[in-house]
Amino acid sequence: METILALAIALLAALFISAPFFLRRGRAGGDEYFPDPRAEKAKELGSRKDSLLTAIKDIEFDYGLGKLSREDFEELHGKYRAEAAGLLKEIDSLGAGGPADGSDIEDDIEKEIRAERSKFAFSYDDEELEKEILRAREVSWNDSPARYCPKCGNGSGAEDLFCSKCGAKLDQPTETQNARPL
Amino acid sequence: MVETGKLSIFLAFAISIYVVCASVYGARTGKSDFVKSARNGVLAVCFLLIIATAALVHSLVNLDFSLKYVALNTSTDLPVIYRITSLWAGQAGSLLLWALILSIYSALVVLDTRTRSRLLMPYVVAVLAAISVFFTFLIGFVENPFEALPVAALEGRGLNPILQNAYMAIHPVTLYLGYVGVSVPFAFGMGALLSGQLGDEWIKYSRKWTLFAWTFLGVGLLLGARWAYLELGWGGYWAWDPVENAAFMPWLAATAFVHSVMIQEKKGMLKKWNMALIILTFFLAIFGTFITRSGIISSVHSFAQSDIGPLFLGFIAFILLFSFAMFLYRIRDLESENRFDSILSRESAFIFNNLLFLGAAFAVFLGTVFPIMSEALTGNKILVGSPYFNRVNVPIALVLIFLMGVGPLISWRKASRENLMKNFLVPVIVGAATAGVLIALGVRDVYALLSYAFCAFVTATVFTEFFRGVSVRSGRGENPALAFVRLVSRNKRRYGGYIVHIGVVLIVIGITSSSVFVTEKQATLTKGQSLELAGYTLTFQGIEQYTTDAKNATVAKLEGYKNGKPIGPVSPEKNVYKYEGNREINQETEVALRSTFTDDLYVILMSYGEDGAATIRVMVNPMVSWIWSGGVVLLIGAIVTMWPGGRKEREEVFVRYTLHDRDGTAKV
Repeated sequence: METILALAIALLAALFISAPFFLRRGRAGGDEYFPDPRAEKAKELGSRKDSLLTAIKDIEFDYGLGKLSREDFEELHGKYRAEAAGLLKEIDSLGAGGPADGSDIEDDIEKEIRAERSKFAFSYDDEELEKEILRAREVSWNDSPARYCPKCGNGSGAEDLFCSKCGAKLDQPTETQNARPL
Repeated sequence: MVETGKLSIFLAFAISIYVVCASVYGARTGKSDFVKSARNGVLAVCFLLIIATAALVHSLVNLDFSLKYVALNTSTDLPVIYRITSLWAGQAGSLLLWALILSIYSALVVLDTRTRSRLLMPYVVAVLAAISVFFTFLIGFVENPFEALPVAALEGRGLNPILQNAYMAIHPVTLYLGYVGVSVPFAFGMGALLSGQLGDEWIKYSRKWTLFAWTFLGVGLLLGARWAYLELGWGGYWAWDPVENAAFMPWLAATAFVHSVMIQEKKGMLKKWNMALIILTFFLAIFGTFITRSGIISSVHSFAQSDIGPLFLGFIAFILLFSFAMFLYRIRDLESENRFDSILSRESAFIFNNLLFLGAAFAVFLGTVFPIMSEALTGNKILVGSPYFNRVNVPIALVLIFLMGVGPLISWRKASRENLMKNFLVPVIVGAATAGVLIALGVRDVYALLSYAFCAFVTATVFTEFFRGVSVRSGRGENPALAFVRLVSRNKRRYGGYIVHIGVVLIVIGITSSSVFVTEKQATLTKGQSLELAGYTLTFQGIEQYTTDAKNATVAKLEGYKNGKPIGPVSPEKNVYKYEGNREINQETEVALRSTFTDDLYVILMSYGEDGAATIRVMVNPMVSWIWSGGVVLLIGAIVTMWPGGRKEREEVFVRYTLHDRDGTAKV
């Protein structure tokens, strides 16, 4: 009795493992299981590009908060931009998306960075709160916002150069701007 | 059932070999049928090992004394629950459990990646199956749990009495879940090296699985410490025993990995380092299993001795050679995408964290293998005791606690003076104030002062972080409780991590207090005499004896008082077990323990005389319960961190708003 049980288990395992070979016969066409290596390469370059763009955006954000000196900002910004330009060239040469000829790499970067910035501004809820928390780390937590953005009304710290929500340039604080909006 | 179990193990071994070959062949030639067949093979191995384990448990519960394993580890008087737990009381059963857990993890990995990562996965599957080949080989051909005795025994030897304890029932399984869990991130790392898919994928999976394994290792270590505290009766919970170190080392390496992996995720840096770390972690996990199971270093765990040592050593050597050969082969693909911009940055805080964790792991490793090396080289076994381990690890631990406060708050890339001032001024004041108060109270131990001050510092940083998050959210009209819940659930990784840090702080406070401020006294008392220690008074009432089916017990009856108020009877015991198999430990100590939030009263019956006098040893261990509650907090934090969901939700939000952007309608 037990021998039969053991044999049944063995048979079941064998059937299960060889099933992919039998089931294949019903299928026509080539093997599409594995993704195209070129597409994978493009994906990898794409993710590297994303991390560079995030870095650039972070640098701008930090500079806006006054966390980075102008020298540091320019050095880092230049470094990362040059690298992003190299990457975009590589992605273009792969032919996986992006304008292949004629257009300027520099323009592309500018476009990408702008897109990245607007993503940040528009994925409102979580990203926005996240940023406020980050800013709360920089600004002592019992400070209320020193002033408000003339464009979108978002509160910002006294030393901020740009609005952390919409990116608009902030003027020096004045009496009227200090009133809390509704 | 025995025949079925035996056959299942052999089949699992054969199929594991097939999986390695089919998976690699399918990936190299692009024949997906082989890859799919190999994936089915992984599921089949899991199924077979579940059957094998069920068959062994069935034999254990029904006391089939024709099997050597059953006869060696159970007896008729053993309760059913301990018959089941004796699955991991001996060598063969433990190895079967190892293989079973590995096969379950492998099956989960296969099911989790059905439609994803198709270039990477065949190699990951092959590596998991290769590990499975080794363990199914051990249980199939070297230490078979279904090995029959020439003549069936009439009675079993019974389970070692010190293993008959609720903590011992779950502690080994927890540790195994951790040890084996480390195989998965290792397999992903090796899969990435073999396939050349060294992007973000392997890191994503590895991080998840390492966190999982890390949690089980950590909880397993604490459960083991608690078991030693309750059962071994020497008054402590950690002795730098080789088997404790065996689990502690991979835990240290895994801790380093879960931190440095964040740098790779966020910055594309430390790729080589992370790869090396995960190889090292797996090596330490296998090495830990080797130390535990081979009995190479005799210790309180020496009941695990056997002769599978050489096979394990061969396997370890193979892992190291193969992994590092692959590592060197791909080293050019592991270049950093970013650089260090400043020494005062979160990146460098993480690097220090990593170096310290590895330094600690190395120091523990050295102390653990030194007895073997000295014996091999000079013929004399030189034992390395607690003083060595403490002297090296306490300062490292202190710096790590300090970094635990700094790391989460310092800026990425480059910290400005402003950043440092605003984030750390209050916590530094809290830490310094703590030290000041303690000095005023008369604490003079430098390490203790530093430890408490750093713990206060870390706690302050974590609390200001929670406070900030909650006040930002509640500033938008959420009530604080809801704001807190949402804050944590929207960024589980960060806030879960903070909760883990608080758990670690509690554990460190408990360890510091109980090791620096422990008091103890030993005395021989006759009836009516009392002993006083740290506010406790114990009055001796006399010796009593009783007998159960399994043991003869001797109890010292004491009445306890704290500051004059009665706290009830305190009754330490000494037990003598009846069955032959249990006589290895003929005098087992049953400690009387009264645990409170501030201190533990720990009473041991050392000996008793014909005249009715008893020698008792009393210890008052301050704040030991903080260690266990810290463990619970740590577990809660880890669960929060790993809780599924959240990430996807965020991506949806992300997509939605970018779409709005294109429509030009989304200006909120």
